[in-house]
Amino acid sequence: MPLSPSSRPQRQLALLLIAGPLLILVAVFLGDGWREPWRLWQADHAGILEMRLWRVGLGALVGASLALAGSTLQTVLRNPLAEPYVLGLSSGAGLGTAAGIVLGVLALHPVLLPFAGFVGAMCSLVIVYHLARTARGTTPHTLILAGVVWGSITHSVLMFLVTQSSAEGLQAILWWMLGDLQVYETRMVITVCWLNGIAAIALYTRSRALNALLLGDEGAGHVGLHTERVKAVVLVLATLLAAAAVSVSGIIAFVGLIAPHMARAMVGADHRRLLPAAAVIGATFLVWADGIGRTLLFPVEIPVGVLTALVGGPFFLVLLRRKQREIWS
Amino acid sequence: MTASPTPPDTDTVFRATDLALGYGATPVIHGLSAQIQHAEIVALIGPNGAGKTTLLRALAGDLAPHSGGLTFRGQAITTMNRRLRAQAIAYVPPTLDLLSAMAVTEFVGLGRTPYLLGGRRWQATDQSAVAYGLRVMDLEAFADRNIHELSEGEKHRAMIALALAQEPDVLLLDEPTAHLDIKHAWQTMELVSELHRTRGMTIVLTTHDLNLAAEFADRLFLLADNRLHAAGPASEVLVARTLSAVYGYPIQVWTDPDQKVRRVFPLRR
Repeated sequence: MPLSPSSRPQRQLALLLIAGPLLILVAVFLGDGWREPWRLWQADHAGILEMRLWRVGLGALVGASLALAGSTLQTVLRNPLAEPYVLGLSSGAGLGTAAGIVLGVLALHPVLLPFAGFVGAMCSLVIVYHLARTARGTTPHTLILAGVVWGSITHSVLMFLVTQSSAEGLQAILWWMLGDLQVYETRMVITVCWLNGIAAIALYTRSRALNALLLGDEGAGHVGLHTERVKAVVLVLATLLAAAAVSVSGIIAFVGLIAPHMARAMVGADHRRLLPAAAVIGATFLVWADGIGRTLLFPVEIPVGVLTALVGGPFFLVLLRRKQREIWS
Repeated sequence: MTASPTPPDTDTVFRATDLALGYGATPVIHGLSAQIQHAEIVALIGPNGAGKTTLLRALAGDLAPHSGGLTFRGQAITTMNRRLRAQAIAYVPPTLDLLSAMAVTEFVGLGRTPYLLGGRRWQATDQSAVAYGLRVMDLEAFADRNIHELSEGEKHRAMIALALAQEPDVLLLDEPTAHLDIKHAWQTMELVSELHRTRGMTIVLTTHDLNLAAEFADRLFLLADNRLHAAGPASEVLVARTLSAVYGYPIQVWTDPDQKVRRVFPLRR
């Protein structure tokens, strides 16, 4: 019997693992023609169904990746506000990806783009962490400030690159910057799926180490952890998850913030439950945000990044105003 | 007072040889040579900044010696395999620094980490180690409670329970009674000396409470002026003249006629 004697968290996780995928499947019907879902199976709608399935699949992949990255960053940086967007990792990955396009990596092979994004995000993480570090580690607020400042710097450079691109590409790039789950290049999505699948498993196998990190760096050392080594490994994995997601979906804010907190409230702090729960919640949340964006103002489509920001922004502000202790417990 | 077993000389747990410790370039302790034997209770005492916690952290492996040697059963502490070290040495910090809310059982279960990091599954031995920690620290009634809702004394007991779940040979306690009232402080120390009696555990603790050290420790290490000023049983270390000089304040020592009980109290200048 693992750690907790109470079966409530286990039941909650089981519930999530069943309800999440079902809800994700239902979201396939959201969008044009949601009132007559059976028509999706008619021969003339085959193209739409395929596109929808890809889109929902990508949404689930990206949502789960961002949620896993957020959970890990919150634990390792001991900061409840940490997530890929707030820390400037997402815009770093965006800049890396855009630079990759400009430098011709895309022409070389599209599956290399996620790696360009990873380089950008990794640089951002190192820079933000060092900017935010004080003598006693990082505090929530310095880390967020450094992330916001770094995010706006990379964002400006990204905008500059955008202005230099061709007119017909502008619309697509603009959408991408707001977050877009349409699948343009299936090979890239499949690559990201593999990459992040492996990263997620690697992360999950370190659940016990992540649990030990809750005791603090020294506390984790006292129960046998090579603290610095473990932190480096899981930070790289989290950055990879976020960067690869950004390279296919653009910059989507706050999913990595909301999902871990909801998961923690449902299944507790043990990462063996927290990670899968956060992944399912992130996937479901993003797929539904995208589905509602397709449906709400049809035929106008609301970019998914706009919807997640509308929900996530206020959530972030509420967390910001609460005390550390209250957030975590 | 506990009947102190006289351990054989071959059974040295910790051995410091001309040890120098410090943070960065700042030296805190130098020229320290001492040994701690199996199944001893040693209290590190001394004025603020004398290096009690520094020495304890070095024993836990948090701090590499500036120079000199510090070994655990013949092996340099900082080069030991971390997991094996955590199975042999457990460290209890003065205060709880836990990020998330969790149930007391779950918290104590983190003490099993050194046995599980290799990928082994949770099994009956892990469960019984956690149950043992909870039972000894009298926390069974709190097992399902959120640890942050506990009182300071209960939290501290949970931290010791976590250390016990590591099934260590050595327990290092940093200021175990600093935040506790007399009853809880002495109860904690009674539990600790009980562990020492029944399990033959070696215990090293830091404390400012000289009376507590006098009552429960087999030997006292008096640290002062960045060195080991005196080491030995209370009757040798807790001497009015020494203490007054080291603390820079008049201190009296009282003993009962049988020399069993020894109490220290300051006198107003």
